Amino acid sequence: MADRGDTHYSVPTLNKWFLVSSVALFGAIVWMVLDDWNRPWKTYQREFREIELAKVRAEEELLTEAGALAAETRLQEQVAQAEATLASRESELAAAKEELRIAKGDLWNAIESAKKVLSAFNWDRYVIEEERRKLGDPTYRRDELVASELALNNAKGVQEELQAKKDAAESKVNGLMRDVSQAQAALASGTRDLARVRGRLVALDRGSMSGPEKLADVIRDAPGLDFVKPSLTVNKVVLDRLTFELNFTKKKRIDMCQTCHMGIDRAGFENEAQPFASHPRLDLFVTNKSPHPANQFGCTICHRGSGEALDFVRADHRPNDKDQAADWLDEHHWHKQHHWDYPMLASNFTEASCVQCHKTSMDLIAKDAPTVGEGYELVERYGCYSCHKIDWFPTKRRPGPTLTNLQAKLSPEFIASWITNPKDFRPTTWMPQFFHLENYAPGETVSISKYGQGRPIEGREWDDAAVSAITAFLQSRAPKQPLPAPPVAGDAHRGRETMRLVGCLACHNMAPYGEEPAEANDLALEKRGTNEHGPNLRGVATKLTPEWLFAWLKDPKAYWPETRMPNLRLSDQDAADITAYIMDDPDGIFRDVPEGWEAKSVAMPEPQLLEVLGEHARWQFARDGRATIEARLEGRDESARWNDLETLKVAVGEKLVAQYGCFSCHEIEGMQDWMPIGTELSNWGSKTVDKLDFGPGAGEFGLDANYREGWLMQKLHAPRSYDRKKIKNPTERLRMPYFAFTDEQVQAIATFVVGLVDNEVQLAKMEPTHAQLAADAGMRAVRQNNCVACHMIDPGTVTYQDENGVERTIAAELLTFEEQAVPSAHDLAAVKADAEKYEAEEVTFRVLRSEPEVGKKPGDKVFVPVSKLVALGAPQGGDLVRLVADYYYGGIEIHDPSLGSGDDAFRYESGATEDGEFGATDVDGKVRDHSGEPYDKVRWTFAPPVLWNEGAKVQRNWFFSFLKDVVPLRPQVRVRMPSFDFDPGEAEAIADYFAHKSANEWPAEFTRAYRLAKGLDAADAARECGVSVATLLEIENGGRAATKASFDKVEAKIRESGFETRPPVDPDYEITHTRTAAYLAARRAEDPDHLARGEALAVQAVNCFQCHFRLGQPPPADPIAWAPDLNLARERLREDWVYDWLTDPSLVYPGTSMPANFASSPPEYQDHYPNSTNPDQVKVVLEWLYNFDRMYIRQ
Amino acid sequence: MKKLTLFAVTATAGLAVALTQPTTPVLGAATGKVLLDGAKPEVKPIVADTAKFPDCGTIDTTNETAMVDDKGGIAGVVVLVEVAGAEVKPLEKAFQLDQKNCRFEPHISIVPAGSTVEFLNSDKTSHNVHTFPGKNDAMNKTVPAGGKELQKLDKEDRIEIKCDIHPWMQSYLIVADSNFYAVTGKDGSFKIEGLPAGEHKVKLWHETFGKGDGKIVVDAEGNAAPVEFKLSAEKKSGRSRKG
Repeated sequence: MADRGDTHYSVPTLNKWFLVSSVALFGAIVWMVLDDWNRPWKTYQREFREIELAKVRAEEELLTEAGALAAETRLQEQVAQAEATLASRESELAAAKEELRIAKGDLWNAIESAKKVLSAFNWDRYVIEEERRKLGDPTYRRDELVASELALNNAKGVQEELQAKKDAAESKVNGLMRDVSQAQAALASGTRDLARVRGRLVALDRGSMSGPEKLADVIRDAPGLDFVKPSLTVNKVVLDRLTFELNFTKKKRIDMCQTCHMGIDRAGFENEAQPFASHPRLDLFVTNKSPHPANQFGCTICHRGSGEALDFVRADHRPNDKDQAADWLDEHHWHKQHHWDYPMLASNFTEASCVQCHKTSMDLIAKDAPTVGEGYELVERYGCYSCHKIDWFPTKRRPGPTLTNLQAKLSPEFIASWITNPKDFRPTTWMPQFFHLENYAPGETVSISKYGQGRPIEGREWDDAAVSAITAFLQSRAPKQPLPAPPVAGDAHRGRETMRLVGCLACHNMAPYGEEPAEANDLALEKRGTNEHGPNLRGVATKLTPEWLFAWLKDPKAYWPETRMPNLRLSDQDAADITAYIMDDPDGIFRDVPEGWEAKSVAMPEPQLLEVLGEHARWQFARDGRATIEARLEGRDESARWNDLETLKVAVGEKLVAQYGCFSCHEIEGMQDWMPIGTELSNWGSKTVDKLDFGPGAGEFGLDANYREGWLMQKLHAPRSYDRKKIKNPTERLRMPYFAFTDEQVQAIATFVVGLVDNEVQLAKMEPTHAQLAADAGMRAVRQNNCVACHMIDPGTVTYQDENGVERTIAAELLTFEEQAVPSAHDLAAVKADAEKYEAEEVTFRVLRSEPEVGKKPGDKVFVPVSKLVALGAPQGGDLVRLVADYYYGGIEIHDPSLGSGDDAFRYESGATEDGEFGATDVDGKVRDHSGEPYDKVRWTFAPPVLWNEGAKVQRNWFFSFLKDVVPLRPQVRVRMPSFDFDPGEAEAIADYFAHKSANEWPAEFTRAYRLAKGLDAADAARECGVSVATLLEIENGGRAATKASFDKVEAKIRESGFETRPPVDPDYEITHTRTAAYLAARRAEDPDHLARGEALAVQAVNCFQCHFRLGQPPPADPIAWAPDLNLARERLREDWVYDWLTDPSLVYPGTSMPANFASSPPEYQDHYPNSTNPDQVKVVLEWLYNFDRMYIRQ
Repeated sequence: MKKLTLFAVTATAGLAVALTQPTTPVLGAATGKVLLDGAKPEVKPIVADTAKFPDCGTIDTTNETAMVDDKGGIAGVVVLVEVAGAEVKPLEKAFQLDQKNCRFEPHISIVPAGSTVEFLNSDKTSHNVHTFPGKNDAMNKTVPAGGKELQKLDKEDRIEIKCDIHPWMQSYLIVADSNFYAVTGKDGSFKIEGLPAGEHKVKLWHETFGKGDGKIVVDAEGNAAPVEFKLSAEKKSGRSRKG
C-alpha cells in the first residue's frame, strides 16, 4: 500500500514495524511456550518416565524368563476348558438361572408381604396395649392379638422357606459356574504381575500403544498444547489440617515436592539418584498404608523448606555438607533462601521433626528415630531440662544428688576439687565443668580490681576463689550431722562376693580410667551401657566415709529421696561387708584415682583470697552501692563483716550458686523453689536465626552460621565460645558449663532441640492409643530403672547363610563351645575370637521362638560354620547374667602383673572363703563349687530371670503389686530384685507395658507356630490364608505394615484349619477361670475327684515339692535345685502360660531345669489317674495348683 | 549280652571286609591301660544326705569323677579306636542307663551313633533325666519310679546327664562314631575286641583329666601288644574358667 500522504505517519513504515513487532511477539510467545514446556520439573518428569519404563521392561523380561507367559497360557486354557464344560451343560445352567430368577421374585414378594403383616401387627399391638393400659385389663382383646402374632409368624415362616429356596437355587447356579469362576480367579491372581506390567507399558511405552493412544500421547505433552490434559503435571497435596504462619495469617500447607520427587512413594527406586529415589522408610512415611501418608502430612511438615516451590533453589534445599553445597552451586546455582524462616533440614537433622508430634511417645519412636531418641535420652541423662525448661518433658527429678546433707558424705577438700573440674576425679561423670573455661581463661584479665584502680585479676585466681566460695556456701547450707558407725563389723572378703552377686554391678561398673589391662577378662571392668547407669565406682573409697556408705547401701532414699538407686534390702551384715570391701579395697579398685587427682582446698594465700573475693563481691553486690560494699569489706557493717574470710566466702558463694544455677540440678537448702536459669527450650526450634547471637565468635568450628543448627552445635561443643572477642562484665558472661560432648552426642542433642518447635501441627498431632501410651510410659520406666541390665526382654538374633547360601535371620542364643564355661558375648567379633580360641569350626545356637523359615522350634539347635555367620543382633537386656554366671565358674579374676605376663598375670579368687577352697556361697550359707555345672543350670538357677513374653506369663495385677512390694520368688538367687520407690504411675506402666507387649507379639508367634506345625512354606501358607506372601511375612515379623484386618483374615483361616494355641493376653483384668465357682462346679460334676487327682499326680507321682517350695518350706535338695513356691502360682501366673509350661517347659524357656512331667508315650501315672492322657494330667495338676490355698491353707 | 552283640556286630563288619579282600583277615583284641601322669588328685566324696532323701536308699557317696588307683590306673576313661573305613553300626537293642539309689549307672557309657538309649529308673522316687548334649537334641523329662524314657541319638556327641532333683547325680554318655570302644575299669585297664589288622588311632577322654590320643597296632595274626596311655594330672577338662 502506497503512502496516502494524508497521515502523519507512513503506512508502509508502520506495516514494517507491525511486521517486526508481530514477529517479535510471536517469537516471545514461542519462547514462552517452549520455556514453559522446558521447565526443570517437566524435564525431571520426562526423565522419570524413561527410568520407570526401563524398570517395567526389565520386570517384564524377568517375568517372561520365570515362565509367566507359559503360566498365563495354561491358566487361559483352563478357563477355556471350564467354559467348554459349562457350555455342554448350557440347558442345565439356563434352567437353574431361570429357577433362581423365579425364586428371587417369590422371595421379594414374601418379604414385602411380611413387612405388611409386621406393620399390621405393630399397629394392632399398639392399639390393644394402649387400651389395656387405660382399662387396666391385661386380657383385653387377647385373642385378636394372638391371631395377629400368628399371622406374623406365618409370614416369617414363608419368608424363611423362600429364602432357603433362593439360597438353594443360587448355590446350584454357583455350583455349575464354580469351575469357571475358580479358573478365572486363578487366571487373575496368577497373572496379576503380568497384568500390572502390561498396564504400565501401555501407559509408558509408545511401542505398546495403539495408534490413537500413541497420537494422544504425543500431542498431550506437545509445546503449546500441554495446557489441555498433559501427562506432565504438578503433583501437589493440599493439607487442610496443617497450616503455617505467613505474615500473621495461618495458611494451608501446599506441598508440590512430588512434582519432581516422583519415585518417593514407590518401592523399587531406592538406588535411583535424586530427585527420583524412593523414600528410605516407606513403611513409616508417604504411602497410604504407612502411619504418615503424604496426602495427610505432606513433606515440609517434617523436612521443612518451601513446599510450593517448583524450583530446586526456591524449595530451599539444604546441603548436608560443604562439598555438597559446592556441587549444588555448580549444578543449580544453589544459595540459601534468606527470607524463608524454615529452611529444609539437612538429612542428618530430619529426625528432629519427629519431636513436634511425638512428645508423648518419644520412647516409643526411639527405635525408628535413633538420633533424636538418643538426643532425648541425653537431655534426660545430663539433665538439660533442669536448667532449660522444656514444658512437656516427662521427667522432673533433679539429675544431681541432693546437697542438703553434703557434709555427711564428702570432705570440703573433695568438694572443692570436684567443683573445680568433676572429670578430674571421674572422667565419665555427667556433671559438667563450670570453671577455668575460655571466658575466664587463666592468665586473662577478668576484672581490674577496685573499680579499675587496683590490679588486674586474672581468670585462674578468679575461678579458684569462686570454687572456694561455693564450697563454703554449700557447707554452710548442710551442717555436719555425724552418722552412726555400722552396727556390725564387715568382712571385705565376703563383701567382694556379695557385691558381685547381689546386683550392684548391674548398674555400676569399675572400668579403669586409663589404659585397660591388655588381658582383662573381668566383665565388671567392661563398660556395657547398662552398667553405666550409675557412676563408675573407681576411687569412691577416697571420697566417702564408711558410715555414710553403710547408711547409703541400707537405704539410699533416706539420703537422697530422688535417687534412682533402689533399695536392695541388704542385711546389716551384707551392707557392712560391702562397705568393708569398698573401703579396704583389697583389689586396688576403689582407691584408684586418675593420675594427678588430689582432693585439696583451693591453694591461695588468705590475703589474696580476700582480695579476689572482695572483687567478686563488688560485682555481685553492685546494686547495693559502692559505699555499702566497701563498708562491708572493711568490716564496718555489723550485719556483714566481709573482712572475715569465711563470711565473705559464704556471701559470695551464695551469689555464685545463684549465678551458675547449681540449685537447678541439686537440691540446696533454701533454694528448692528457685527458678531454673537457662533459656527455655520448649520452642527453641521455632526461633528464627536473627534472634540468635552469633556474634564475632561464630563459625569457629566450621559450622554453618547461617542456620540455627550450626549455632546450637557450636554452643554444645564450646558453650562459652560466643563470648569470644567481646568485652563483658565478669557477672554477665556466658555460664553454660562444658559437658565434653562427643560429636555424635552434639548431633543427637542438637537434633532433639531443633525439633522443639511451636505447636504448628496440632491438628495432625498423634493421639496415642491407650496401648501406645502404656508402651511409651512402660519403655521409659524400664529404661529409667534399668530393668534390662538384669532382665533380657527380647532375645537376640543371628543372621547366617544356610547350606544353600540363603541368608536367614532367626531369634536365637549362643551356646557354649566345648570346654567353655559361659557363652561368648552375643557379638560377631567376640564369637569369632572365641571360636578360634576353642578351635571350633562351627557355632551352636539355640532357637528361641518358632522359626518356620528354617523349620525349627524353640530349643532346637542350629549349627552354623563360623565363616557363614553374617551378623548377630544383640539381645535386649540381660547383661548381668553373664557376669553372675562368670562368677560361679571363675570367681573374680584379678590382674596381678607380679605373677607374670599374659594369661599368667591373673589370679582367681572366689569371694566365698579364705581357706583357698573354690566356691560361691549359697543362700543357706554353705559354700559350694558349682563350676562343674552346665551353663544352663547356673544361668537358669542363679541369674536374674528372662522377661521375654513376660506379659503372657504373669498376671498384670500381680506384676503391678510385685513391683510395688517385692517378694523374693526364687530364694536361691543371690541377685536381689530391688525395691524401687517408683514414681506415681511407673509400676502400672511397667506392668501394662509387658502385658501389651505380649499381646502385640501374639499374632506373629501364632502365625509362626501354625506354619511351623504344618511345615508350610511362606508361599503356601500365604495362599491358604488368602494374603500376599509379603503380608504374611510382615505379620510373622511383627512388621508395621501388617494391619489388624489382614491378621484377622489370617487368624480366621488358621483357626478354620483346626490349629489351636493359647489365646492372646488381654492386657486388662483377666479372670482366673480355674478358680471360679462355676468352673469348679462344672468340673466336679464331670469328675468329683479332679482336685484329688491333681494332688496325687503333683505330690505323689511327680512330687513337685522335691524342687518347689511349699508354703515357705524349702525342698530337701541344695539351693541349686530350688524352684518357686507353688503357693504363689495362682496369683502370679496366667493359666494359659502354666498350661504350656506344664506341657513342655523347654518350649517356653529352652534350657530350663524344669522337666517335662507329662510327656511320656504312653502316658505315665495311670495308677494315680486311670485312663488319663497327658493333657488330662496337665489339666488336673493345673486345677490343683490354682486351688492350692483351698486345699492346704484352710486346712 | 552286650559284649555278644558287640561281637556279632564287629564280626559282621569283619565279614564285610572279608568279602572285599582276598585274604581272610584275622580280628584281634587290644588290651591296655590308661595311667595318670602326675600326682593323684584328692577328691572329696559327693555330698548327698541320705536322711533328706529316704527314697534313695543308701546313697553311695563315692566320687567317680577322678578315680585313680594306687598304681595310677584311671577309671572311667573313654577309649575310642578309629578304624579307617569301618561303617558305624548302631546297637540292635536299646542301651540301658539306669538310675539306682540316686546314682546314674553306669557313670560313663558309650554307644555307637544311631543307637537308642533307654533311661530307666529303678528307684522308688522320681528322677528327671536332663541331658546337656552338644549336637543331639536336649531332653529334660521326669522318669517316675519304675518308669523309662527312650531317646535315639544320631550324632556323634558327648552328653552330660544330670538329675536336677538330686544335684549330685551326674553321668556322661558318649555317642561314638566307632564300634570299637571301651571304658576303663577301676585299674585303668581296657580291652577292645574285633579289631582288624593295622595301625589304628586311639582317642581318649576323661571327665577330669581331659583328652589324650595314641595308637594301637594289630598285626596280621591279630595280635596286639598291650598298650599304655597317659593322661596328664593337670586339670584339662571341665568348664571352669579358673586357672
